[in-house]
Amino acid sequence: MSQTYIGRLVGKSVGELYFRSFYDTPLSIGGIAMAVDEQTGRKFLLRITDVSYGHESAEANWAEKAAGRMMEEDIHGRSYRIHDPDRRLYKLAKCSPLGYVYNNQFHRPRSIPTHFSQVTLPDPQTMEFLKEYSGDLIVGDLRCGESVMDIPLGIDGRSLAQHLGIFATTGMGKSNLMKVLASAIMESGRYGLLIFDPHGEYHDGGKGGENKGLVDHPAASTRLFSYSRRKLKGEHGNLSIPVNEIEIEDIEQIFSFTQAQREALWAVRIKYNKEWLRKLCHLDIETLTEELTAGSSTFQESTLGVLKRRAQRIEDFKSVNFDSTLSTKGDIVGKLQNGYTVLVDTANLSGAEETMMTSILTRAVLNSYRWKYQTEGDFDNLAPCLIMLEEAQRVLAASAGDSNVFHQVVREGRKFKVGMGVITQQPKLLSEELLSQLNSIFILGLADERDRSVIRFSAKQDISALGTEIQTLAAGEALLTSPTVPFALPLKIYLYEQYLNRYTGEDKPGGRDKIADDFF
Amino acid sequence: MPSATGEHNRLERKAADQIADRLNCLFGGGQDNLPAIPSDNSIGSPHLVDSLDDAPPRIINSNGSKVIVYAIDGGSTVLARGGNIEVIAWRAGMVKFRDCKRLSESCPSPRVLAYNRLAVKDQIEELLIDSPAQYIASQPPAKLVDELRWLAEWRLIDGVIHSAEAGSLVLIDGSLRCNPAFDMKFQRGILAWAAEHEIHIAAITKQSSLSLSQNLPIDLKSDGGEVVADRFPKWYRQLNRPLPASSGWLGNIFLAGLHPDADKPYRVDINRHDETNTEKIFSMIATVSDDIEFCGYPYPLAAAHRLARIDNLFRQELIGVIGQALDRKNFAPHIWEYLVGDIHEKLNADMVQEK
Ligand SMILES: Nc1ncnc2c1ncn2[C@@H]1O[C@H](COP(=O)(O)OP(=O)(O)OP(=O)(O)O)[C@@H](O)[C@H]1O
Ligand SMILES: [Mg+2]
Repeated sequence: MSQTYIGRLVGKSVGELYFRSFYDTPLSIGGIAMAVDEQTGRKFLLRITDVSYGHESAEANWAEKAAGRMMEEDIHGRSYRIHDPDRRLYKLAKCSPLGYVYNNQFHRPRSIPTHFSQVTLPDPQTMEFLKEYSGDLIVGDLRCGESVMDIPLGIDGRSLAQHLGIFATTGMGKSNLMKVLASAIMESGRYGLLIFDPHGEYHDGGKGGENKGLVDHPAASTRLFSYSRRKLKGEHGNLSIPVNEIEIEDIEQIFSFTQAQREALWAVRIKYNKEWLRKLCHLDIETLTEELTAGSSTFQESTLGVLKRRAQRIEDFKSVNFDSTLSTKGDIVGKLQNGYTVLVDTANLSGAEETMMTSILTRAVLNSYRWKYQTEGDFDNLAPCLIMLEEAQRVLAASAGDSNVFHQVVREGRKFKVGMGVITQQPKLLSEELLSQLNSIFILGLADERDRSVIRFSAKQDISALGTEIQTLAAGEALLTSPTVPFALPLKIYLYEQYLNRYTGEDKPGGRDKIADDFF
Repeated sequence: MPSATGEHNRLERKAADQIADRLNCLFGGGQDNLPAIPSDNSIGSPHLVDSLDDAPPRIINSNGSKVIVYAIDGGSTVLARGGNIEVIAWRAGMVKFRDCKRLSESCPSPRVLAYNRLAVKDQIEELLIDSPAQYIASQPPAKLVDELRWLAEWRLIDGVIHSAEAGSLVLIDGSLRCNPAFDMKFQRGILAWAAEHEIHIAAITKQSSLSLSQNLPIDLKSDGGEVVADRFPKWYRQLNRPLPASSGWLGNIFLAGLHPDADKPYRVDINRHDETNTEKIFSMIATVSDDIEFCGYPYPLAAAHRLARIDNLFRQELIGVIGQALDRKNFAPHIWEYLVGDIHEKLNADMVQEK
């Protein structure tokens, strides 16, 4: 009997299949099995969604009784065995049928294989059909339960502007996936990528030194541009925004304003134009009050006082300067449009400053693409761009409304080739509408049931049967859903540090195992 | 007709048709009542010790060696009975184990026979035409199905020992004694050949009727007569005194506690030709008697029993298949119902005749 033979089909319907397996076959949730219909030659792919125990005894509670006897024997230190385990014990795997492969083509399941069809592990040759769906940005290999097959998979770069989600509980591999995806994008050279890095982990791998950063990628020297207000390993630019490029929307990300304050702000903005923030900082309250009074409408000194203090805080931000020639904004946008990767390291900035910078740059990108879309003929030559946002719930949470620039990108970006990459540990905080805009979603391990259920609604594939799998995913194990893949693809994301070895020839990326009998 | 309980539990349509023809034929014959035919089943008593004191316990050291074990058991049943007509079914099956794993098994579909008890003598001659054992009893057997099952078992034993690896253990359900209705040469030949070729044969009785000095059955007490479990977690005692070479008892008779947690000791008969290996054979038997569900009983025999038995479910299936065949042959359905119904009541009375 071949090593890949793992059982026989026993039931039950098009939507839910079961197979009996040997008592010692290692089966795990998320594993893919294959039932071969001998009559038609169709190879049905089944995703294991649950595994349970079975035994052949007709006696009620046989297993409980046997366990009781074992415990008794254990206590007395006597030895015993289970004879004939192949015959008496088995495992029952519950599966959701993914579809069938026939002539290297994948088809949705509309029928069931014949009774008692033989179940085997999928062979690499059958799974080759997936290569058609692999996309050009490869981030991992096909995963079958806990093992990996040599079928590289990823996403299609053309879908980047249709937004992307990366959801995982902390430590499950979001940042690693980000680095691998960035590598793939740098290697392709066809897409712009803007990464905001609040934790300072992407450029050089961050603290500790055991992790590698994007700068360690061989393509970094030509395709990566990092900006920061701190000293980074290797070449990088100085993150700098002239004060006159800051808009009200940007500071609205970090302060909340009353209606009166907002009106005053707009009055300042209109009065002083691009100089509004400087004037707010440097004119005294009396002058401000006087200059802003128009007819009967006037502003209270206390209102202007609050605005002034806030403006001063902004002027104190490390990355804000007063020299309008020192802007990195245009630089960054230009690089993105030419298909480069830009890393904005905000690790030593305050939370408020970081949020504001993110907002300013995101808006700059969106506006530039939009403007080129509306006016110039060279829009077609612009590289599509993806803006990756760590801790995206901070600016995209449903509770904070949906008017900011990040929401705008999600709503309108696809038209202008600007996509939003939403990285978060808590997708449940995002609105359903926003989630439904995300074309590709990488689901890594998610412990919280509410997080899982919210994705269930927005995923482009039915992943309702996969709750247990998502819960049990280990770091780096993912499911990828998108409208272009035939089913939620189980992936093992390459570990970035190993991925880099492909350039030094030490190892193949992903540290993939050979298919062995512990395949599941 | 496919069966829910396995390939071997079915009866081919052709075989059912033959039975139907045969029944048609039989009912064309006489309807006289059959007097019970006594058969001399006695081979004398095995000459046992007077009490357990004369049978000191010996320790069994099971070394867990990965022996190959064959277990053989038979199954039989009476499907229908009425007047002198009886329909019976029987077979024997074998399982082969090594180190807890079932290596192979074989069990045919049962043979089914419809016969007239008045003509049983002709019947048995016809059935035994290719038999290696000669039927020597002066009277036809009272229970033909028992003899046929016995013969099937021993023919299977004969086949198994000739294909078994040297050093294997062959376990049989029951005891090692001559069947007085048949020429002893057959069984003796098997046992002698086996011992000579290092195939060890032992028989285990599920429930013994032997007793010492007219007391309770020997296997009734859980500790074999005294508390030996502490000193001897696994033990055996020889119950028979030396047997004359001509004895119909073909094995030495023992009582054995095969696992410290056994619920009772079992009577074990070991091929007399193989008595120098008694200790080793007990060690082998104990090695396969440590299944958690059957502590103290050899698991392979339990498996052989399950394989070969014709249980009530299968019996009903057989009755159904033959009933259909009779329909096809235009046999009056009420007669078959009568034959089967009659046996139902009898079965309920003396428990299912499943062996
Ligand atoms: N694809 C992978 N293969 C193997 N191990 C991985 C993989 N991805 C992540 N890990 C392991 O998990 C650890 C945490 O990964 P990572 O920092 O990417 O998680 P995270 O989701 O970004 O966590 P946080 O929420 O803290 O930002 C890594 O240091 C690594 O050991
Ligand atoms: Mg992270």
